[in-house]
Amino acid sequence: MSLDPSAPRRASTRVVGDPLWYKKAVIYEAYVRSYKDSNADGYGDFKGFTENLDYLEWLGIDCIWLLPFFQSPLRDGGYDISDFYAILPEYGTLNDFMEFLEAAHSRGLRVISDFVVNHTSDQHPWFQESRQPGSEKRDWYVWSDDPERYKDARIIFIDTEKSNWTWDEQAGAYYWHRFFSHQPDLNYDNEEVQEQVLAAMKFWLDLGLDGFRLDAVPYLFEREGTNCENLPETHTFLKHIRAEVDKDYDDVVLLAEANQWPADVVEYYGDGDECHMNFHFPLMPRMFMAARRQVRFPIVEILGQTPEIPENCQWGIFLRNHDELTLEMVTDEERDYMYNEYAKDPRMKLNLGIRRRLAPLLDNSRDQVELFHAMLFSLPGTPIVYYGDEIGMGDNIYLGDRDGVRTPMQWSGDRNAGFSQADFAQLYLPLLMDPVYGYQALNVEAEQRNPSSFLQWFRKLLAVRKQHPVFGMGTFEVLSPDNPAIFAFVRRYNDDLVLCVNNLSGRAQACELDLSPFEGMYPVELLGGEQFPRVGELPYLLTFGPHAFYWFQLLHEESV
Amino acid sequence: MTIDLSALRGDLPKRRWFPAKHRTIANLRLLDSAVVAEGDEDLVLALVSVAFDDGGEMMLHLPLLVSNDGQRDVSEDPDRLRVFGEALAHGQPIKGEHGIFHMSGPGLDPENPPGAHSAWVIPGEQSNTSVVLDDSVILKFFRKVEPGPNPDLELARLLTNEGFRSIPEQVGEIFYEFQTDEDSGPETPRTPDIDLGIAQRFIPGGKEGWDLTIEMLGGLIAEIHEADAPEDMPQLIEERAADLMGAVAQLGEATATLHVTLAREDFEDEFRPEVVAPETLRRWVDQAELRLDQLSQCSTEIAGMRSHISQRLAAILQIEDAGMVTRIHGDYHLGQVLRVPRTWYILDLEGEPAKTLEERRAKHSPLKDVAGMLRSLSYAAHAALRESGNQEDRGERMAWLTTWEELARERFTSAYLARAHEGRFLPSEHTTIDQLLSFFELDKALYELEYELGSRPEWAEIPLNAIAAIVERGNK
Repeated sequence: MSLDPSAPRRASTRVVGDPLWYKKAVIYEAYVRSYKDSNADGYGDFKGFTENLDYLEWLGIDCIWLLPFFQSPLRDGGYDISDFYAILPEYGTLNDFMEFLEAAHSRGLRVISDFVVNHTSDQHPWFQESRQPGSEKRDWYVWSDDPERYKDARIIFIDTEKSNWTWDEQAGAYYWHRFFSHQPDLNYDNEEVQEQVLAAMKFWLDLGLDGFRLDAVPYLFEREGTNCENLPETHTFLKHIRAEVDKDYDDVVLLAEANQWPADVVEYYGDGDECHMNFHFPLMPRMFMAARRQVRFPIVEILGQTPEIPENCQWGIFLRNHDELTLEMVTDEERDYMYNEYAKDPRMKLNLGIRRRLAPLLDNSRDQVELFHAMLFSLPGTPIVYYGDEIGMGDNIYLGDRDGVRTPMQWSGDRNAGFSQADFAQLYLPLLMDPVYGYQALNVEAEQRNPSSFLQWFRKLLAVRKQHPVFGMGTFEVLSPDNPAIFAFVRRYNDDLVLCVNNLSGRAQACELDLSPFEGMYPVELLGGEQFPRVGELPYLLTFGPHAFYWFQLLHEESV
Repeated sequence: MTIDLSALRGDLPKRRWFPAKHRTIANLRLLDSAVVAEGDEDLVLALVSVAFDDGGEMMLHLPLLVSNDGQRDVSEDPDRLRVFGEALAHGQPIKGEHGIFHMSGPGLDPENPPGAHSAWVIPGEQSNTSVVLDDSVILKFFRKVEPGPNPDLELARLLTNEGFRSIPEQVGEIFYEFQTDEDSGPETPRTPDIDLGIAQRFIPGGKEGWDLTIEMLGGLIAEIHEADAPEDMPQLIEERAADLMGAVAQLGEATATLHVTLAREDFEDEFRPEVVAPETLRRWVDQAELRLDQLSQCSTEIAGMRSHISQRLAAILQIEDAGMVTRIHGDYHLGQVLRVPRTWYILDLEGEPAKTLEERRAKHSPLKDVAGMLRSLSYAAHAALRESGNQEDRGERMAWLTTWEELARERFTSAYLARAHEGRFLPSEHTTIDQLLSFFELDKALYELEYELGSRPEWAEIPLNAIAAIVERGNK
């Protein structure tokens, strides 16, 4: 269903409060399609999602990031939008969405959504109109008689696309596309396009959405003689969006997807007047690398390379995601990086093939999965977790490219894992059925009942994080113990002082930490509340089981 | 500053590591280069293609110091190599014309990179050039390179990642990645990366296994007393060479642990163990027969034993379960292991240098490594005998050394088997293991004989005696 953008709409509900909420939040990334099916058609929908919001509230996350749910021919997982104002019919109606949003907000959960600004589907009426000779919207896309323009812009999908230009018979001209040829790039030199896209964003913000993950932002403008990425005009436009959003709404967040090195990504923060958040792309592979090598250096190195960012900005960090991080979709530089870090070790190539979920990547080793989450939740940045990883879900590599990590959420051991009442064969993707990761063994209900399950542990870790804003707001200082397997750092925010120590090795370790700046203080372990011996003059000795970690709050004697 | 190719052409054949001193260079071509550090002389990594007048070609990796006045090999000024410690620890990629020179140092502390204090080049290396940074990291530059993984690097990386303790930990690497040419279209296959160097932890104060064995056997010989009764010999050896016997047993264990680590069944295809197929046995026999054929034309002894040898070789064709083939060391002998107190380190996992990259990366029976080491123990006994001076009492010394060799074989093999059974790569039958070991020892001895006849005829008796002994053992 499409809605007249000028029609009056419902007053929005919002979670009121902290303008820096996104710095302390934990974000949960999910598909409407994969979450819960309310009408037995085999597809998840908003009504179904709404039914299961209690679970997310119980879990303790702060914000839901929805993958694209807009009208789309779905030739690129919904990243090919054909109507910015309509919801994919399989997902329900705008009303369903509104109810979902209100239900989320009433539980204190914020909701942000993917939003594709760079291009539309070729099915979008704007493009269809633009193709017509003499159309007023001709200039809304980038047309040319000469496919040699902007030669310096690389081709991102080199496996499927031969050129960034595709000939359109009807238009009698070539159109520009940085991604698939069915995704024509919008022409941001046209002010109407800028206005229209902003209007579409405001439509959803008016309805109560709490922000956007802006897909593929580096490519908005084209200039001859450049690689057409990260151009100054792009930053000017993003600052414009930010100013408009700040003017009309409170507590909205813009999370940019810029697949660049941290040193380049910081441009997208501006002076705190552009995007609130950016992904830290290289951190995740370095964490895998460090665990594989059982030394801290790869992580220390990349964090050392990461520039300071403005006070009101934050990195988005993650272990796994829905997989927009395929090798084709990252920049050359990053692809080098990924090849280097992932593919150089044959075993990594096998297991870290980027289409795996976290648990199978780590050989389903509980202690490693815990260690990775402990690092994710304590390193500087806002953790983004991928639906299903909180119960240790597996994947199905035989489903091919990206679908293997997009199987239905496993709610219970009931029929279709409690995801849908449809016939099994009708499900959008088959459920996992194998003996280890299959839904009968591994599901939310079973883990909720088992006090020692990973889900319960995850929830506890999240709760501890929530009690300590230092994890989101604090400074980060790395320590350099002699034992290279130990990754130790201190987070500091006002009086809150937390020492995090991680054993990256699969063997028990001992480590002497220089804690002399904290002499006289008492470490209190945050998960169990146990007080450790006083920090003295001498190096502080800690011992670790394989892949063990500690979060210590450092307290003065009088507060103990 | 540009590289002077004509000067290089004159200079290359003088280099100790140059792998083709007997061939004539027809042409040199610079494939790519990148400046690692600027200075009066730029520090440059260069990839050069050498064409020979016999039509052959090879690719060389040259770290050079280049100035307007010419160039020299960077090993002439080791201090300039210190910068690599930081470059590796920070993982800096350096762009060339057609690709990227990648530095990667996941095992190096970026806050305290090696090379801050010292750098020295290992003297006398034959095929590569290695520099030791701060006495803590050794960076080996491969000289003759080609697209595709270098086995030394890929195995050291794998073993380090698997937590194998008996190699010096691999801490970094240098490799070259070709940039895909976008005009060439999506169908063009990607050229594999070229491995250019490996950084490993430096083990100071180690002693090569060969030197250690010869030295200790010298000690054993010196202790021979005329009152020693021949029947006490085994026990006396166990007592007097207790350190050496313990070290040999430990070497058997370390070797087995290497093989168990390399035999993990969840490895990717190029590493995963495979069941030995009957064709594989056939191929091994054929290759050995080929060598036997050539040898029998230049050695009357071999010609005389030929049918017996053939029979011995062919015996393995009857084997039903010959275990698995895995990636192995490939060129395993006492010169490839390093002893520090109580520990062995296994070095140089690049396989036999004379073979092609494909052959060196091929899977083989781990028992081939075991046979290689058994042959090396035998050589050590004979070399110790030769070094022990005059011909007087040679027979008695020989008896001691032969007994030592038997004991050492037994210690090595039993320590190996005890640990190796943790893996699933060995044949299930003990007799099959013995059969395969004999085959590989025989194969190795034939190879040795070929080498000795060509370069040291006075040593030929060592492999000849071994061949005769193995054949005789089989006849019993």
